[in-house]
Amino acid sequence: MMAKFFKYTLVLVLFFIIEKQDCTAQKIELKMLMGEQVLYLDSNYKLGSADSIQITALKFYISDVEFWNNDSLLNTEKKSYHLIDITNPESFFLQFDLPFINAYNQIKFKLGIDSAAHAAGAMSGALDPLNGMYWTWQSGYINSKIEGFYIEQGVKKVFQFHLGGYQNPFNALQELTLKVQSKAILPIAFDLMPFFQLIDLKNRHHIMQPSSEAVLFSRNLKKCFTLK
Amino acid sequence: MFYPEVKMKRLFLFLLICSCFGFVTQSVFNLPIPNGWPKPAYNFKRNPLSPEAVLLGRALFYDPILSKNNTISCASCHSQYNGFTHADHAISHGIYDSIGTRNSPTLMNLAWHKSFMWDGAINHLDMQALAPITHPKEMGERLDSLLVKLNRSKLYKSLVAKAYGDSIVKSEFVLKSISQFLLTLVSANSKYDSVMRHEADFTPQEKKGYVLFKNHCNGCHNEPLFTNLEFENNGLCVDDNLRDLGRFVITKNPLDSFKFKVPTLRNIEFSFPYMHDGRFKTISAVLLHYSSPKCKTPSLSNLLKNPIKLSKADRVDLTAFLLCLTDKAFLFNENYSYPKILLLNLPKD
Repeated sequence: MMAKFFKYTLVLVLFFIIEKQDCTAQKIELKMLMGEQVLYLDSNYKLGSADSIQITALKFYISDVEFWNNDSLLNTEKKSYHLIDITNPESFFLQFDLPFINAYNQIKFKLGIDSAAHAAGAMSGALDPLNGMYWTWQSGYINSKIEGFYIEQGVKKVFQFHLGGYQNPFNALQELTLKVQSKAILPIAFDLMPFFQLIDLKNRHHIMQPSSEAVLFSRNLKKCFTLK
Repeated sequence: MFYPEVKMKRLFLFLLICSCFGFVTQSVFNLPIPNGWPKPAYNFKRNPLSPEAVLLGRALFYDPILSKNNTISCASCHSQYNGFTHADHAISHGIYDSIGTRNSPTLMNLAWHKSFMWDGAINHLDMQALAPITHPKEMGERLDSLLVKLNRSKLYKSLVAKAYGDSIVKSEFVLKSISQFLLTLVSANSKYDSVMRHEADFTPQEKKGYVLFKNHCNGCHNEPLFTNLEFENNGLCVDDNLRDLGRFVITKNPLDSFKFKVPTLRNIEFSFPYMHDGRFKTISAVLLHYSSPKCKTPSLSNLLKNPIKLSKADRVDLTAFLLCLTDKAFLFNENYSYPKILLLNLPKD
């Protein structure tokens, strides 16, 4: 009798939890783009008139997402870290442990990992060093990783940008504010084209440690977030 | 009718209490802090010590499974009887006989340290082990491959289950448990400590040495840790082959050139050779260096701008004091040595 009662309660509780999450939880859907086209791994994208690029790896962190109505903060998920990985389309849907509030008109978030988490020690989940986003020789998370080939007149050259650094003067963490219309599943575009238009791949194809260039490149990466 | 219900309630309560105990697999303990010592820098709240996790970390520390070809363990370059540095090696060697660039540092009182490595490259004890595990010249392993190996091991699966109540070996458990073992390596039972606790007395020579120490060395190697945990340039000339710029590599600040983390002097008797590249084999060579630092570059420590004047007799007295920092209870503590549990895990012929 007791056991049955518990089973039913458990099922009911689970039902409510699942239903609540499905109906009202806030989500963000990232649309991964390269200019007007959808971004896929290992595909060719024209850059300029003759050259093209291929992306072989793209991962970045989005953290501390806040939902604002003008000057008032409506909702925020503290210490939340979302790892977006082009090889894992599920990661384009950012799940929040927050109810949808149909009143926000802007969101603020960070591109990368804040300095407190950088120095907090071993963690699991998005911040697990197993994700390949942690520098082992010098402590610190890689905020964003972009790797691929630059094809110039048929010749393939590798580029690798591992952008990170949490200590001044090379703090690469970026803060963004986007004006949006509130939606339970908020669509945001991540278009890599502006990033590549701002850099000279011929002369700069590797960044692998904290530096002033890593900071500059991280700033350029901010321009990829739009509302297309 | 009445009684069975009461019994059922009691049974239910009993089971509830039992289940509560079932979840508590850890028996948390606090690191004993020696009297008069500062507050540890390590945040124990995020990684509360338990005997089970310490044992897991100790097994990992002594197990060459951490290296790519199962040949190098942490203990390969950090042996207990040397204060957990590499016996008689100026520069350590790792996997495939690769030679590194620096002297393996001692491991003790790490709960008080806020950065690790000679240049402070590592900002948290939990993340320290990642560096030697993945370094191509140390253990040459990948974290994902290591976790596959550990998850195939019955020993580690059972140690993790006991320590964390989880059936999967996760990187967080590996890193935190290695931290736990390292945190227990506290050296605070040297003759110096006994004198400070008024349980013993210095000989007249050691006393003279202690006065010299306080006048000349305490600026950087301050008590009770015998390091200020900062980075200093002590006037060593750059080795032409190694060309090690020290702290500059991390901060890119020219003022940090040739600065290295001030090492502790505890157990100095057994932690030879000395300096970041192990260039000095004896304490006497070290003291001679401080009498006349050869390379006075702009980042030279202010405290060394004027050479430390030590007569031959002074050097002998100072050495007598430094030998008082030997902590046999630490160097031969059985809780820090090779855990017998690993013997059960050796491959069978």
